[in-house]
Amino acid sequence: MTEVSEKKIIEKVLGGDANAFEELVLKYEKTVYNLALRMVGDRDDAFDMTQEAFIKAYGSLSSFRGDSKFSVWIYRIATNVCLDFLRSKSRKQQVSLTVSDDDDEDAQLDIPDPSSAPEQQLMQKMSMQSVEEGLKTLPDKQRQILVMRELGGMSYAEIGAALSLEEGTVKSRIFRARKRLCTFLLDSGNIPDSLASKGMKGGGET
Amino acid sequence: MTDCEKCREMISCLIDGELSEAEQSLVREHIASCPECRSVYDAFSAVSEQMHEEEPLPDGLHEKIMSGIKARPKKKTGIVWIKYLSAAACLALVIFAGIKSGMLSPAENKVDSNDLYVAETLPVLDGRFTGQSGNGDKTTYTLAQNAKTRAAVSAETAEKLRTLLAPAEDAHSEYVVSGEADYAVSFDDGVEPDFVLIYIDDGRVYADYGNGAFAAAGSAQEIRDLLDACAGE
Repeated sequence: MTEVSEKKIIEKVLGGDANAFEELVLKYEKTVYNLALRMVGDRDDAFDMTQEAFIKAYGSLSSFRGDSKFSVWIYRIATNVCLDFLRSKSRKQQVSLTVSDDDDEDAQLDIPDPSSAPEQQLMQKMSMQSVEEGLKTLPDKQRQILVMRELGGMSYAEIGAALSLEEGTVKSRIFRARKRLCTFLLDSGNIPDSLASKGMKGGGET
Repeated sequence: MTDCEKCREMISCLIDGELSEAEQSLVREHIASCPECRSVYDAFSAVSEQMHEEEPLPDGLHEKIMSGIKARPKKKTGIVWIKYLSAAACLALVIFAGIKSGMLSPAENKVDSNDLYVAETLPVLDGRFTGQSGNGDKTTYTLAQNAKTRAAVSAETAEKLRTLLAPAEDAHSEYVVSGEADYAVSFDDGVEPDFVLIYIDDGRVYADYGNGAFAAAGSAQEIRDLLDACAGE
C-alpha cells in the first residue's frame, strides 16, 4: 500500500466509508501490537492498548493532516496511549527516584520492588522476554523513543517532528536507552560475558 | 577516533542508519581496532535484532479493534452543551450571513478578531471567509462584503439554534466540506463549541464545528428562518 493509496483510504473513511478503515488496521495492527507490547510489557494490556490506539486514530482521523506518514501518526498515537496507561496505572509496585538526566530533563529511574520481582534471573541467553523486562526498567521517555525507532522504523527526524524534540535529543535518548538496556541485560546475565562486558561498564554511565 | 564514549553514541546511530558514509567508515575503523567498542556494537546489534522480532497478532484482536471502531459513537451531540446555558444570561450572537449568489461585489470587510471570537485554529475558508492574517497577537479574518450582521439574541434563541444544529438522528458520518459556508455563527456566551459553519445544500443542513461537517437536525428552512429572525432581533 503506497502513501498515495493510504491517503485515498483516509479520504474514503472521512467521506463516510467506515469499512475502508479496516485496510489500515490490517496493515498496521501487528506492528502497533508489538510496539504496545514493548511499551507496557504485558500481553493483555498490549491487546487493550492496540484496540484503543486504533479507535483513537479512527476518531481523530480528520485531524490527520497528511504532512507526515500515516505510519508515523499511528505509532505516535499508540505510544501516547501506552504512556497514558502507564502513568495512570498505580505505581505502587515501584519505588521511584528522580535522577538528573544528562539532557537536563528529569527522568524517572524506576526500581522494581524486589518483593514483587519474579524469579527471572536465571535466564541463560537474551530472550524476547528479557528484552521486555529490560525495557520496563527504562524511563518512559527513553523507552518510547527506542520503541518508535526500532519497531516503528522511524528516523530521528521523524521522531523529533512527532514529539517536538531536537534530533540531537532523540539521538542521545536512543543511545542512553540502549546503554541502559544492555547494562540491565548484562547485570541479569542475559548478555553473555563475551559480549559487551567491558564496553558496557566503561565510562559515561548515566 | 580516541573518544570511545563518542564512538559508542555513533555506534547507536550506525545501527539506526543515521550516519553519513564518511562517519560510517570512521566508526567501523574504530570498532575494528577497539575490542571494547566492538563488544558494544555487538550488544547494541543483538538488542536491536531482538526488538525487531515481532510476535504474531493475538487471536481475536483484529475483530476486537473493528468492533470497537464500529461501536464508537460517531460524534458528540450538540445537546450536552445546552444544559450549561444559563437561561438568565443575555447572549450576544454574532452572525455573518449573506446572500449566496454571484451578485456580491468582491469588496471585503476586515473584521477584528476581538469581535469575532473565532478560534485561531480554524482553517482558512473560501467564500465569505476570504482570508486570515496574523498581526501580533490578533488574527484578522477577512469576510466578503455584506457578510456581517451582529445581533444580540436571547438564551432561548441560542438554545434553539444549537438544537437545530445538533447532529440529525440519521447522521452517521462526517463530511469534509470545502467552499463557501452559507452562515458562520459565533456564540460569545462562553459555551463550547462557540463557532460553527453552516452549509446548506439541496435542502439539507450541514454543521461544522471544526471537526468535519455532519448532517444537522434542523431543516434548511428552520435554520434560515431562525437566523433571519436573529438578525432582526
